[in-house]
Amino acid sequence: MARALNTLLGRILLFVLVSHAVLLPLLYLTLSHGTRVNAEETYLDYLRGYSRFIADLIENQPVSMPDSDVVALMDSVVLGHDGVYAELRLPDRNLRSSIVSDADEQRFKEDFAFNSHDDEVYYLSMPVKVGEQEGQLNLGFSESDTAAEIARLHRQILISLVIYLLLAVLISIAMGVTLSRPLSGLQKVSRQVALGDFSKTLDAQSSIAEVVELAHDLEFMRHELVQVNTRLKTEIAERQVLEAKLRHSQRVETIGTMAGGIAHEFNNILVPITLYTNVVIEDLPEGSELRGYLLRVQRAARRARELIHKILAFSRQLEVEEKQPEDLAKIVREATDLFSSLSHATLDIEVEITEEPCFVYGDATMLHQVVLNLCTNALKAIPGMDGRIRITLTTETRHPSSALQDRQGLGASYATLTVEDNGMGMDAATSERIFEPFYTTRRVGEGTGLGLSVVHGIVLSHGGDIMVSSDLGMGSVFTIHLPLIPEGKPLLEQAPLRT
Amino acid sequence: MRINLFFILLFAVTGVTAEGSREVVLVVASESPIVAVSSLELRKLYLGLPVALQGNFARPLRNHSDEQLQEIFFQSAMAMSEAAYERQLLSLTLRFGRLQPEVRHSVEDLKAILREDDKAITYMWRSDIAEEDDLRVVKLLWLEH
Repeated sequence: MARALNTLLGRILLFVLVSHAVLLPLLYLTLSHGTRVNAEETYLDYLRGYSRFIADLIENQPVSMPDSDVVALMDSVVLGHDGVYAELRLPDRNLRSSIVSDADEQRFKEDFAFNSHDDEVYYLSMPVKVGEQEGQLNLGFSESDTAAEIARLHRQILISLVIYLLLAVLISIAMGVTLSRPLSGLQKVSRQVALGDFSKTLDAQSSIAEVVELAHDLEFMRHELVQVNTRLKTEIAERQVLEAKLRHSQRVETIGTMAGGIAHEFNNILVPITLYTNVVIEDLPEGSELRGYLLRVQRAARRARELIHKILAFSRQLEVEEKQPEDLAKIVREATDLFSSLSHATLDIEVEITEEPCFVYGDATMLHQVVLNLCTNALKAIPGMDGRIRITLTTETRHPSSALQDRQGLGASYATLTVEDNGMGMDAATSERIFEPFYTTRRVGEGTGLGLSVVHGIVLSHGGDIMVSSDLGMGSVFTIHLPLIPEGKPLLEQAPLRT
Repeated sequence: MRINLFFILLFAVTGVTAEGSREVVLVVASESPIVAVSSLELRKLYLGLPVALQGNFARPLRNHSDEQLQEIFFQSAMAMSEAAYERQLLSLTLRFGRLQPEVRHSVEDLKAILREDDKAITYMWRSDIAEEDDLRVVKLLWLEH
């Protein structure tokens, strides 16, 4: 019951019923009083006017009416509509209707208001002058018909008010249903939205301005919620990607540090080997068998030195002394030309280089090596003789990886170098470890597993980053971002780069 | 005639009939030229219409000193309800610009006006003029049954 009263329909009905419970009795009393007063007044005006007419009829005769005529007139009054009693009382005689009795005369009690004596007869007297005598015309009329008419009017008013109340209740129910239906719809959809179903639209389907505005506001909130939710999901996904990248970077960093340390120590060990081998070679005669052995040792030491050089490049412990503003477009063009000339003719190589200035601060030889390593890696990923490698260089004003910008502390422009192949591709686990040194998917003897590690180290030492996107059987895309510098700008004015 | 004189004298002295009934009468000053008023003239007079009584234009005064007197006046003299009377009066005033009868709430005021103006005429209980020699009854309006 309490719940029903707390609904919109219940409240409207309650309000209508309570207000009508207060107002209808007042309305009934006012209407019934008005009709009663009006009916009584009309009745009294009629009676008084009629009585005066009878009195004037007696009074205004040129010759006094004979008593028999007066009595006949009194009889006529009594026999007329509502007539009950009639008499002309003169100082010397009493001329009463022949059809009233002495008992009727005893009941005569003059009224000045309707039904004032509860005898259902209205008695009144009029002054009459008959000849020289002043008398009273006493008449009585039944009040029953008028009282019945008043009662009938009261019943009609009551019935009308009851019908009015029923109509008011019906209209209230219709109004309540009309008002509550769109609100119920909104409530239902709101619940679905609250449970995470954002697909439904909050539409009021109503012409009531307040309801429409409410629906509009709720829909606006739902829309905002959807957007916030989408943004949150995107941010969570981005955060997960960044966390994965961070973990990967830390892992590569750790490996690089360790590999760099080992390479550095190994280099120190290699120095006396190389030095003393050279000294002994110089002392041995040409064509000596021992000299031949030592030359092999020297070549092996040189290869070891190159290997150390690569490991140091990956671990970014290699001293880069030739960093300067370089035109990356020119470097990419030269490297791809060299790669094209060395690769077989059936390979489809697409090169697309931006016309925009594309200056980076770095070592041209190392950057050259980056391009060649990526192209070589792409070539080796293509199983047959036919394949496609696409190399593009573009500039961007904003890097898609916010982490890179954060690391650089710059909102600067970046060069984007992509090397795309349609080779065998990699699975996720391989992509995860592809930049680790000595990690390779090729057979023993086909690669050292240092090519991409070197690329990774060089790119990071130039303040950039590298990403790989690959699906097994669908090829791979390596993307490098390097911060751009304004063309020809003195180095001191350029933004600092942490290398 | 003698009987009439007897009644008049009796009323004038006692204010009531021989049976002790109360009366409402139409009154003028003793010196007033008005000696008789018919029922029709009375009604016209109190509806604000100009009425010449014995060649004199009377000045009607309404007596509001007593509620029952009002009821008797409307029923026996005007033969209509109070609401109908007020409507008629207003209608005649608006249509013909008639002056409405003056209203007084004190019997003493009415008596004073009657004494000052011999054309003035009003109604009151007979008992109110029982000892007033300078006032005269011109018509019996109501006699208590």
